[in-house]
Order: sequence, then structure tokens, then C-alpha cells
Amino acid sequence: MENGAGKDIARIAGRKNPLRDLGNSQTAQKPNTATALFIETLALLAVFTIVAVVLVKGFLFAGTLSREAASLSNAVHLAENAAEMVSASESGEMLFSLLNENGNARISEQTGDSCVYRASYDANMNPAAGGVFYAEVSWVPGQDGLVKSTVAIYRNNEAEVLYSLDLAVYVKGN
Amino acid sequence: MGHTGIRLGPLALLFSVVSICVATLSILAIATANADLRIAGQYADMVKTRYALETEGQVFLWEAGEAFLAGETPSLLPDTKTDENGVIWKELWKNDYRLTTGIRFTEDGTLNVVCWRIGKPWEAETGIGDLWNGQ
Repeated sequence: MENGAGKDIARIAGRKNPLRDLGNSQTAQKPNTATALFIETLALLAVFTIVAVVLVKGFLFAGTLSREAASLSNAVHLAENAAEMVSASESGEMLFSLLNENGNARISEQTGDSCVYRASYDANMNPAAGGVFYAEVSWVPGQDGLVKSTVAIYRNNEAEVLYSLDLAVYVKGN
Repeated sequence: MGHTGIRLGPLALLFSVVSICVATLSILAIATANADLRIAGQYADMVKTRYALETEGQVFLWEAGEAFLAGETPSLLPDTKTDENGVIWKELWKNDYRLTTGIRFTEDGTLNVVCWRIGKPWEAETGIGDLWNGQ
């Protein structure tokens, strides 16, 4: 190394303008190589970062779709269960007793014979007070034994209905 | 200026392979989640149709009961047929689904539901397309 550097210095020293030839020397190749390596690495990392961001967004989108599908499935099952309870009931009290498990149901509104019951369920659709989902089930006795009912499933703290069913039940003697 | 080789090739190749693998997984994840959501939506629509038919059937029961109590003949209700056993049949349709309901009134005025069947009519594919039938 010292011999090579000494030859360079001697060669440069023999010229009229030694600074002009500095870029052509072997010692100047190393910074150029390092700079190129640095730039190429940066370019590679930038491309890879962009690709990674796009793919992570794709995974997040898939997760959102999957959560929507799970919510809809849970809501449909809850609505079906509540609808069968409505079909099996002969009065509002009976519907309330069917809905009420572990103290998860309460009367939300009451006007005359008409009632709206609210029952809460956890993420596994088990009856639980203060759960993730809640079902609002109305019981509106109409003329001569035809009871109309609406089952609406909500997620807690959200006003948007996840799923709803309209029903009618013929209850003799109501 | 002479070119000095930069050893980025293996790294770039590794990144490319990783990117391709993750992109494939991402596409599969989106496709699967989308299919899940579509199937859940189809099931939700089917349940809505089923309960809409149930509701119409219950309204038919109510109409028949009211007609019987008013001394009218329930078999004269629109779109009904009465068979030789006195069973009043009615078919209700919604979104290709059919509710077949049959009711009968006993002499003491009790309403009996003898049939309550929801289904989607299906006929077996009997054609064989362009295949030679042996004749």
C-alpha cells in the first residue's frame, strides 16, 4: 500500500497541475464505489418500502373485509334466533322471558301493549349484559291476533343496523 | 472510469422473492375475505327472503282465521286450492323461494297447519348437451 501510494504521489508531483488528475487515481475510486453502493441500496430500499406499504394495505383491507363478514354472520344468527323466539311467543311477556338469559334483556320502550326489548350478546353470541352486540326486538300486537315484529341487530356504540328482519306472527286470542 | 461490481444482486433477488411471495399471500387473503363476505351476504339475503315468506304465510293464516270466524269460506281466499280432504293450499313465492302451506279447519273451529314447507324448486338437469345419445 505504501509503495503504491508513494508512486501515485510521485506521479502527481511530476505534473504541472496535480489536482487535475486526482479523480483518475486509484484512491478516488473508493468514494465513487461507496456512493454508488449507497444510492443503489437506497433505491432498493425505497422500492421495497413502497411494495411493502402496498402489500400491508392489502392485508389491512383483507382484515376489514373479514371482520365485516364475521359481523354480518353473527348478526344474521342473532336475528334468526330472535325471530324464532318471536314465532314461538304468544305474548310480549313470553318473548321477554325467552330473550332474557343471564339478565341480558331489558324493556327498551313500552307503549300500551307494544314493547321493544333489548338483549345483549357477547362476541361469541352468548347472552351477556353489556355485550358486543345487541338485538332490539319489537312486539306490536295488531288487529285480531296478528302481531308485527322487527328484529334489528346493532353493534354496541354504533347507530347503524347490522341486520334486520321484519316478521308477523298470527297469535290467536291475543 | 472503470466499473467496480456492487454486490446488490443477491439482496435485490431476495427482496424480489419476498415481495412476490407476500404479494401472492396478500391477493389470496383479499380474495378469501371477499368470498367470505359475499357468502355471508348471500346467506343474509336468503334468511331475509325466508322470513319474508314466513311473514306472508302468517298473514295468510290470519286471513283464513278471520274468514272462518266471520262465517265465510276460507277456501274462497285468493290464490288458494282446496283438495278432497278439505285442506286449503296456498303457494307463496319470493326471490325463487316457495312457501307451500296447507291448513284445515276442524269442526270445532281449530285451525290446523298440515304443511309449512319452504324451499327452492329444483329440477334435475336431464339434457346431455351435444353428447351423442346412442341413436
